[in-house]
Amino acid sequence: MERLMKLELKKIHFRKYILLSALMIALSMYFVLAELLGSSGIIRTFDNTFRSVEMIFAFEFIILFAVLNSSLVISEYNNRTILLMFTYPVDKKKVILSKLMIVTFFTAVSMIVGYVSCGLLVAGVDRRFDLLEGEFTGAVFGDWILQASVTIIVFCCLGLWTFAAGMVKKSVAVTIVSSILFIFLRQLVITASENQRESIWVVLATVGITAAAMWYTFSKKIMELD
Amino acid sequence: MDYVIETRNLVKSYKGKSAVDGVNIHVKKGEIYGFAGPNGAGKSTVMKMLLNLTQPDSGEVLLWDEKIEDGSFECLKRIGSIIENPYFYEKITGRQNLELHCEYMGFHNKGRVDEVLQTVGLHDIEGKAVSHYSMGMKQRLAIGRAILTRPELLILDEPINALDPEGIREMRALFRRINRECGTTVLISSHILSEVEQIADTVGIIQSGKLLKEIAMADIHKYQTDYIELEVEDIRRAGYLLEHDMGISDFKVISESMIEIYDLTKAVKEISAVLVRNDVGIIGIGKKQGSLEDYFFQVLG
Repeated sequence: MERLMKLELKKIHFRKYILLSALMIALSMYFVLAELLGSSGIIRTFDNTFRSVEMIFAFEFIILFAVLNSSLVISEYNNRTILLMFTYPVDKKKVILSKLMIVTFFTAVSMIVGYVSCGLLVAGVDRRFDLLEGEFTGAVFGDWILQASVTIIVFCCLGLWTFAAGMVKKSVAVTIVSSILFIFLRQLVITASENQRESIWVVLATVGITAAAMWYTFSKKIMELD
Repeated sequence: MDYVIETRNLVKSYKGKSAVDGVNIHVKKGEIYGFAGPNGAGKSTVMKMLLNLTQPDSGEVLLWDEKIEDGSFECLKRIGSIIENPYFYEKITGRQNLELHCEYMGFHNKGRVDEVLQTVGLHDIEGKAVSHYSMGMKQRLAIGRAILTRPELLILDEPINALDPEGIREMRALFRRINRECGTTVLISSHILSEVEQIADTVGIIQSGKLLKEIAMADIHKYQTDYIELEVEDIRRAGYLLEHDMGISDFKVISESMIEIYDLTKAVKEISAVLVRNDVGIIGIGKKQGSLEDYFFQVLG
């Protein structure tokens, strides 16, 4: 699998996606900073600041996932290079899986870097200007890590939903549009919840739907070349 | 019989429309097999089934007597192929595409890439991204990729598409050389019958998904009757003279000035003498042999 992933990276200029990710993180930091220093009149806490960061990430990283997914997987079908890939003495499902692992791993790492960068920014700005209510304690930090981990898992699952949706018609447009629809759906679900966060049941349901979608896509759609 | 490729009653349909209908092909070791048929006849679909890119609805594919299925990696390692069109990763160079191919195939001989680029005449532009290649250059690169790992079997779907006449000649010579020198079995499809005729040892004729005939070129030559092609100024009079003066009834008027005479009991010299004696101007006369094209249309009825 590792060898397949390395070969995948040789096919595309991956540097541009690293730049795109860096740009998204920088943009998130700018929005957070603008919100912290702005005069909206809202009393800011570490909790609602963290939710703002999440909201920005929601749209940025699901689109990053969809774009990567389109470049690495869907375009192989659209450009018909998949015909070549599938004539190699390699398990066809592993070929697609290696691509998905790159996309998922890269998006997850980008989100971790994003959370760390925005977290440091928020903590640093608060320390300097004391803009947020309360103290940045170990408990706050622990809660951030827990929530960030849940969000990364949910986002990666939603990203895989975009893969499943895009594979139905092997369409880049469906992949991108579905990413926006799925993130709206996610926002609707968390808005309806009491603490505006995913419950364990929502997370489990998301993982379950992802597993079912992956099973269907890998068993029915991967080999559909015509 | 020592077959490299054998298919048994292959059937495939798309949305209820039959694409391949009971195809049985037999490709012997070391031969060049020409798969001829019009566009949309089912050639590419059969070739995709040989490479396990498409699953048949029924029937089976045997390569080196082994049934092709998902885990037939040892068979795939022994094959070089071009399917549909020359597809490449366009943003990387021709050389990088070939190196990538070697890695996926588990073939480790970097020197071979240089050799192949030289063979297909792309050594001077290897550093260009494939997106800047012309269609003919991509076709050459695809042929290079197909022969790169010194495969025992080449499956080439319309490999001369987009090549100029010089390129077609070069590639034809290359396929023959690989076949002769390395003993590589070649399955080559084309809708250009003259091309198949020039290269194939055996021909499979496919139309509307059905294999109509599978025959050695040597046997086609036996079937092909010679005839006399006659081009005259006055076709009516010529026809009358052939029938009434010379007793030839087996001939066919092809156009306003052309007649094909299949009855070869009279010599060309004798026919010309009769026509000249009766003041029928002769534009041309000569003995011809039927081509694969003639045979093809004979088979199609």
